[in-house]
Amino acid sequence: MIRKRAALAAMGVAAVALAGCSTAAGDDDGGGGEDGKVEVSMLVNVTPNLTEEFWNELVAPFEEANPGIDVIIQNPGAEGVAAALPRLLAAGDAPDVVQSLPPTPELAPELVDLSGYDWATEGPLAEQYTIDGKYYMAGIGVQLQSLMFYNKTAFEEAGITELPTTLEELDEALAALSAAGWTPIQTGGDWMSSHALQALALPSVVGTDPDWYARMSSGEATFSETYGTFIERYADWVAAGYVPTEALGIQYPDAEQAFLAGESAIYPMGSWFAGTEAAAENPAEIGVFRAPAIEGVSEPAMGANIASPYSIPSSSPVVDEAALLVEFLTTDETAVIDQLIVDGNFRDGYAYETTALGDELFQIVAETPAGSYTPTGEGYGERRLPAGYSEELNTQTQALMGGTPAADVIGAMDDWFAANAG
Amino acid sequence: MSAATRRGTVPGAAIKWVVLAATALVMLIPMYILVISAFKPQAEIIQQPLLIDPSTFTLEYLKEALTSEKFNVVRAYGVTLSFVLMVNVFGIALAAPVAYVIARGRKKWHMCLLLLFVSGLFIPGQVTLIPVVFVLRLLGLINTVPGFILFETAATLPVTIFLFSAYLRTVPRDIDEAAALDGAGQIRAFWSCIFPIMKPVVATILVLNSISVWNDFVSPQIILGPSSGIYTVTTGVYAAVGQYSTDYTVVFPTLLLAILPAVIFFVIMQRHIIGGLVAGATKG
Amino acid sequence: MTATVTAPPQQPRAPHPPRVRAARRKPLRSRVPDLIMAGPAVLVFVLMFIIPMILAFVLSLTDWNGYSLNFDFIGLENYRFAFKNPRTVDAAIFTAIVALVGTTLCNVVGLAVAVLIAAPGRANTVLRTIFFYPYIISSLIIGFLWSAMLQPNGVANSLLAHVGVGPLPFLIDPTWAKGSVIATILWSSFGFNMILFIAGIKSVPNEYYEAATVDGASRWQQFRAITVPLIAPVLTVNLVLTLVGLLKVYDVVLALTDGGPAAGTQTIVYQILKDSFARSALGLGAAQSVVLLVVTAVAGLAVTFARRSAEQKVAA
Repeated sequence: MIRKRAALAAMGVAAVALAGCSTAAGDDDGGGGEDGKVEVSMLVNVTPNLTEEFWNELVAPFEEANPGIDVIIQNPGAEGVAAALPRLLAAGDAPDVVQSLPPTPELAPELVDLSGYDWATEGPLAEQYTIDGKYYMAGIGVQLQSLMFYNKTAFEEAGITELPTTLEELDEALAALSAAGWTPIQTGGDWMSSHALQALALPSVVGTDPDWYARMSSGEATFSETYGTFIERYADWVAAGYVPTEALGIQYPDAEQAFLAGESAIYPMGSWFAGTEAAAENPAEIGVFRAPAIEGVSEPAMGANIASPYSIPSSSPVVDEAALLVEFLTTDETAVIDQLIVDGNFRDGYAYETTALGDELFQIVAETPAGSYTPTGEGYGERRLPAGYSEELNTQTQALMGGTPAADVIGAMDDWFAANAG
Repeated sequence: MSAATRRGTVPGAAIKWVVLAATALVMLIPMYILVISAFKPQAEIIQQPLLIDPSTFTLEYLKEALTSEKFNVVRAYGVTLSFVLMVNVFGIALAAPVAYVIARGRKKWHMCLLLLFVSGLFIPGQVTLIPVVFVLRLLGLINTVPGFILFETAATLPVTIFLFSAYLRTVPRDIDEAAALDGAGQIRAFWSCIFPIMKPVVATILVLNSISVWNDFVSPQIILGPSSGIYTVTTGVYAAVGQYSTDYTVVFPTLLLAILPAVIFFVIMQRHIIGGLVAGATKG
Repeated sequence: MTATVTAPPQQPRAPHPPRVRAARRKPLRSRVPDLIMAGPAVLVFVLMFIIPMILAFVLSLTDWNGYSLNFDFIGLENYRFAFKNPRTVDAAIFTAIVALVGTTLCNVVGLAVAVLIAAPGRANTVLRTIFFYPYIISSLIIGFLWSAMLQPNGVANSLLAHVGVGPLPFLIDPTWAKGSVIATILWSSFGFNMILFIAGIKSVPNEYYEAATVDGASRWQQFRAITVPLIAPVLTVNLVLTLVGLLKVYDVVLALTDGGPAAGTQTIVYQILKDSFARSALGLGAAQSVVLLVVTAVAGLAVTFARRSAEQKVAA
């Protein structure tokens, strides 16, 4: 999902526009290193939380400490890092550091093997992201995916006193919310359509079958037999109006704002939403609970992935300087904490003050054994589905939201795996 | 047609004008909304799309769009305009002589030359654009203005050469002879004597190429990557609006600024633009 | 762009007979300047068109991702995958629909309006400008403009609410979204077809209509018997230009729907550009490019030849 978040960026525009010409954006004249300074270009995702201004301020102390290095922030714009990088590699114009793109077997040969650096091998989720035992990225922390943020007022009005711990209880809660006149689930179009579906499905799918990723990619298991019932349940939610069809026209920033403004009851979203909430003015009273699994699953899986992975394309002429920068970004206490705060992520040993919502989130982190972490979307490291899965699942989720019968969607996903797996 | 019009019955004429007026409204309302929405806050845009309330009228959003860090629109005007000029100059400089050779030649290879270029009319630019990235990389021109101009110029060649050679066939050969008698070399004779005669068709080509280069989006998006730091009006609009397409206080002012030069140019040059397009399409 | 010529009588052919001998005197001397004059254009064209086209074909036989040092030749595998890949097939079908429906609508509306306002006059001139102006605006911007207006909370639905019609899913229902794409294309480009039709109509000698009027022919009869046959070449140009243009439609879709919802409005070029880079499947993208190239050329030539024989029949 990290790479999907890529493409978005929104309310930040207002902030950036207001900030006006106060800071030199640095990326604009894109050349001209003064007095033999080494230029290190870094391609980053610009999102509502991670504005261009944020990035420039983040690297400023590094530039001060290393007067010989000039960091140039590159913004891929609407295209997003994931889509832009292959084109830049093809054009022989890759940046020196790439943010937000977890390594894939396809990409690995183009990246510098960081196995020799302690900060890379000892970083969060480092091992889970290795490819053939090699470390290609270093991240700042972990972000959780299988979370449901909820509006406390809505739950009160609907008479829900206990947070749902199973999907069955969640169903009841949704019915109660709907009856109380609330829009039960906040979702949207673009990349975010499948987020709610994955929050619904993965805790049970991977919770009952920890090897689900491996079995799917080898073709041992089929989508219909492992995931089908959850597609059906989601279709029921759509039919019951829990997931409004109009959501397809809602973009990520709008969805976020709508939920913050108290217009909907449950918002399945990644932990970075806590960062958004912390920065929001007068948000509705919001809590969070773990996305539940079906009854009988003893340990529901929790989607988790690396926050802000950094990697270095091997085409870079300044690998040493780039490595210095990545080391700074992933180990410097202030830099790491700044990044954790702004995106609601966390990491052992890097504590920061949080809002009440952040505390609830950390409670969930503390209660979740690391063993139940699972990738989401296409996966990472050794647990990985054929490329394009995330996009196809998203497309099919949109079809579901538009009223396509569950059976058609399940059939389409089976066909997709047949064409792409193995 | 005047004869036909005279025959029109009164109800017939009424229906005709109602239909035309309705169509004209459909064509104009989006432009009207685009203009007035650039001066209104979000809620106003949604609730009162057709009205402009003096009390909420504001230049703030337009100013923000003008000074946006993401999309320096004034700079984009300059960049795009200079691209248009360069492509026109290079395109015509390359196409005119070869069109002359084709028009005057009687050999088989002249015909083949024409076919070679004309085949370009059926090659969608997007088909060649991706491999072009690798050719430009080999030439060291990817992410550079010369690389972009090279591709964009090549893209104008088929139409330009086709129209030029069609036009030159109608120019009597006597002029060649006269120029040759002056003792000028063939190349100089062409530029000093023949080229000036081509004014009308050159004007047509200027119109066609200017519109296509000004409006092109995919080629600059792919050839001029983020490291070049160069945005044309279209790639800049995409960067600024792409992900914010429901923040109407960003969308409308940005779009208004983006279309302004083209619309002004159109209003002033209307006759020539339409004439040029007609000439280009029907002779082409 | 085809080799058709509009109704205005062709300009006189260059009068060459008396000069043949004089022209033949200098073939040797003229070869060098010929090369100098033709060389640069040929070089640029080969570099930017012919080589890339060959490259596209070669790449389509590989599994190259665009940047790796290793790739294999995999024969026609990319083509086979493209034809069974639902995304490509859907995109091809949608592109065909846009091309056929769009071409028909743009030409029907363009011709109808042209007939109504071809006569000289101030009002007609103003109307022509109004119908035509979107053509000079980039389709990316047109797409963004209509996207802003057709959103669930956009201007169009807000206007509909004023007249008591519930919000319509212009961009959020796959079928509606397909319609919205075609409508936007119609809005922005029928003016171009109209302008060409007007040029064609104006070239029809007025005497024809006068004679027909004397004979008592109705306006419809005049349209069928005089206008349509005499503007046949313009119709051909219009059909070919619109068809070839719509087969590669992309910008407007990117801005209007970004291919959604549920991938319902992805066109073939959208697919090519996504696969080639964003999905690191350059070979697959190239295979689809080659198919598009063939389809475009065949469609363009087929219409040209079909129309040419129709024109000749009319002329006979």
